[in-house]
Amino acid sequence: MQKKYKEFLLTVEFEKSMKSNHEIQHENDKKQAELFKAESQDVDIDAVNKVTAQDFEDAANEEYSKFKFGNLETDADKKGDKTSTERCLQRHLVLVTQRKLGNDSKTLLPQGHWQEGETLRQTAERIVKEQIGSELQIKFISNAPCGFYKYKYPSEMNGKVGAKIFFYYANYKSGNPTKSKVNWLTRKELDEMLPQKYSNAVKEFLIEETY
Amino acid sequence: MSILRQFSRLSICPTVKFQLNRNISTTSALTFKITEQLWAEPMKKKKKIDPAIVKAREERRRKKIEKQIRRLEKNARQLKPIDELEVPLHLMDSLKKYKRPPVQLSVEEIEARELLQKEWARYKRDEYMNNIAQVDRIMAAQRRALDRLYEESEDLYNEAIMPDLQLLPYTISGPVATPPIKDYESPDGEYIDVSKKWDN
Repeated sequence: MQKKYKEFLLTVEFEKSMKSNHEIQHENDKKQAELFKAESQDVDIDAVNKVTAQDFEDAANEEYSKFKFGNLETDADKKGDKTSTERCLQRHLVLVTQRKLGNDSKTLLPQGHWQEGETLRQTAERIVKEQIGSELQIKFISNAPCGFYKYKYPSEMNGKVGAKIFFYYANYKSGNPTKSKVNWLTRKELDEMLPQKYSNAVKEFLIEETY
Repeated sequence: MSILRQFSRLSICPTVKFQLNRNISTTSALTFKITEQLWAEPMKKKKKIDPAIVKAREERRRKKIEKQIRRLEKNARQLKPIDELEVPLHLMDSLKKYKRPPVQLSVEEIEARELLQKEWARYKRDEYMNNIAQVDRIMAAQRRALDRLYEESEDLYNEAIMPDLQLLPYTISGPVATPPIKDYESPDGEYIDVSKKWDN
C-alpha cells in the first residue's frame, strides 16, 4: 500500500515540477545531434558539449549499480542464529533465557527473587547482571514496572502459594551476554516459545508489529 | 584733446568725432593717459605645486573610492532577510523554457488516483487508531502493574512512582534501510561544513 502511494506521489510531483537544468541540457544536446546529422556541415562544434547530459546520466547510473549497499539480511539471518542481536534488523527483538521452575526449564524473560531493602528496579538490574553478565549494557526506562504476571506454584514451596512477577522495560545499548545461553526473539517466536498465559501478559506491554 | 578721446571710450555712445590732430608744440607735450579698461582681472601667476602634494591628493582620492567600493561589497556579502529576496531576473526571463507541457490525464487515471487517495486515507486512519490503541493498552498494563504493586507493599509502590532523573537526555536510533557496511572507507577525505548560518 505504501509503495503504491509513494509511486503515485512521485509521478504527481514530476508532473507538476519544472524542468531542471540537466533536462534542458539534454534537450539541447539532442537538437544539436539532430542538426549535426541533418546538415553535413558542422553546426557549432564548440556548442556541442563533449560530455553530453546522457553520458553523465549513464555514468551516474553505472556507479550506482556498482555500489553495493549493506545487505539487510545479515549473516545471522541466514544461519538462523538466534543468539546474536544482528538478526531481523527491521524488527524488535526481546531477550529471553532458560530458567528452571520446579522440574522443567522454560524459556522466559530473565527473572529472579526480590530481596528486602531493594527497590524493584534495583532487583531487576541485579538479576540482569547475575543471569546475563555485567557486560551487557542496558538502559532502564523508568522506575515503575510496566507489566504484571501472577502464577501459582504447582505445589507449595517454602510456604508460598505462588509468585507475582513485575516486568521492567529496558533498552539494549551494547555488549554481549556472557553467562547463560540467551536468545533474541521476534514477536512471532515469542508467541511460540513462551508459555501461553505468560506470553499474553508480556505482549500487553510490547509494541505490536503489523507486518 | 586726447583726454577727451580717452574719456569717450568710457562712454557708451560716441560723442565726439575723431579728428586727426597733429599737434606741434614747442614744449614737451603733456599726454595724460588713463589705464585701459579692464573688465576682468589679469591672470594670476600659476604657482608650481609640489609634486608630492599632488601625489598625496591623488592617493587620498583613490583610497576614498576604494573604501566606498569595499563598503558596497560588504553590503552585498551580508545575507538579506528572506522577506527581501527576489527572484533573480535571469530566471524570470527564462521561465518559459523551464515549463513542461501540461499533462493530459485520462478519466480512468484520474478516477484511479482519487480512489488511491481515499484508500490511503483509510489506511492511515487505521494505522493511527492502532497506534492510539497500543499506547492505551501499554499504559493500562502499567497502571494495572502499579495497582498490584500497591496491594503488595506501599513502600515499593512509592519507590516505583518516583521519577527517574537520569533518564533524560535519552537517544535511541531506529531501523535503517540498509545497515552500515563493515569496515567501509568513505572516499572523501574531509568534510568542510559550508552550511549557512542564519542568526537573529
